[in-house]
Amino acid sequence: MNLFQAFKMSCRDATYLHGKEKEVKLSFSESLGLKIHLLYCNLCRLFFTQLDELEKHAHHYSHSDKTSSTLDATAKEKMQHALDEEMKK
Amino acid sequence: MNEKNYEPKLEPEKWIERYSDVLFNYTISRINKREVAEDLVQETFFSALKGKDSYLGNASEKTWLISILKRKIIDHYRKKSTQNELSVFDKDSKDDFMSHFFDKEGGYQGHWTEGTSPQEWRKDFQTSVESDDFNSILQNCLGKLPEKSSTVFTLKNMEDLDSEEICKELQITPSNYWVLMHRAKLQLRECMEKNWFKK
Repeated sequence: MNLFQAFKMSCRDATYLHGKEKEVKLSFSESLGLKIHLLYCNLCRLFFTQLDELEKHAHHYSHSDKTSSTLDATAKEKMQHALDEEMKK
Repeated sequence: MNEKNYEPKLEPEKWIERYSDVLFNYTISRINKREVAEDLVQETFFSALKGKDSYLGNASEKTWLISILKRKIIDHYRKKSTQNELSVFDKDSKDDFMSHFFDKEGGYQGHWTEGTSPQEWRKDFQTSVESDDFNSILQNCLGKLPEKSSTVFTLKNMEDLDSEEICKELQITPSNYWVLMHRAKLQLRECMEKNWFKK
C-alpha cells in the first residue's frame, strides 16, 4: 500500500487491517491509512469497537464458572466402571 | 510460603464423583460436542491414573486433573487440524470471507452495503451479557464457525495460548493465524448481532 492509497482506504481494507493489526505490526502507510480512515468513518469505528467487546466477553465467558452442563448418571456410571477396571490392572 | 488448603494426595476412586462434572463443564464450554467432551474427560481420568506417580502434590487434585484435561483439549484440536488440511483461505483472502459485507462495484466499492453495515447494539448489551442466555447463544455461534477459525479463537481466548504456541500446535503460519482469527471474530460478531445484540 502506498501513501496515496492510504488516504483513500475502503472499509473493507480497513477491516482487514484492523484484524492484521491485532497480531502483526502494520507498515507505516497501513497504520497511517487506518488511522485516517477511522477519523472519518464512524461505521468502521463502531464495527471495531463491537469486535473488541465481543472478544472480551467471549474471554470472560470461558473463564467464569457460569456454564452448568453436567454429565448424566449413565455416562458417569460408565466412566466409573471403566476407571474401576483400569485401577484393577 | 502459602498454607496449602488441600491434602496433597490422589484418591482416584473418588474422581468421578468429585470432578467429572467440573471437567465436563470445562470441556463443553470449549468443545461443543457432548460425545467428544465425554471422551476427553474419560481419557483425562485414564491418563491421570497412569501418571499418578508424577503427581508431586504442589497443586490440588482438581487443578492437576484440569491441567491434564487442558493438554487433552489442545491435542484434540491439533489432531483435528492436521487431519483435515482445510485450505485456510483463498488466494484473495480479503474477499473470500467478508465480501458480502461490502459493495463490489461502483463509487462505493469496498464500503459497507446498506443491509450489512454495523448497527448500534441494544442499549443494555453490557448487562445482557451476564445472562445465561447470552452464554448459550455465544456457544451456539462458536459452534457455527468453520472448524479452523473456531479452533484458533478458542485456543486464544479460552485456553489463553499465545499466537506463537497456537501456530506451533496447529502448524500454521503467523499470517494464516491472524486471518483465521480475524475471520472467526467477524463471523462470530455477525452471528451474535443477528441473535443477540440487535436492538
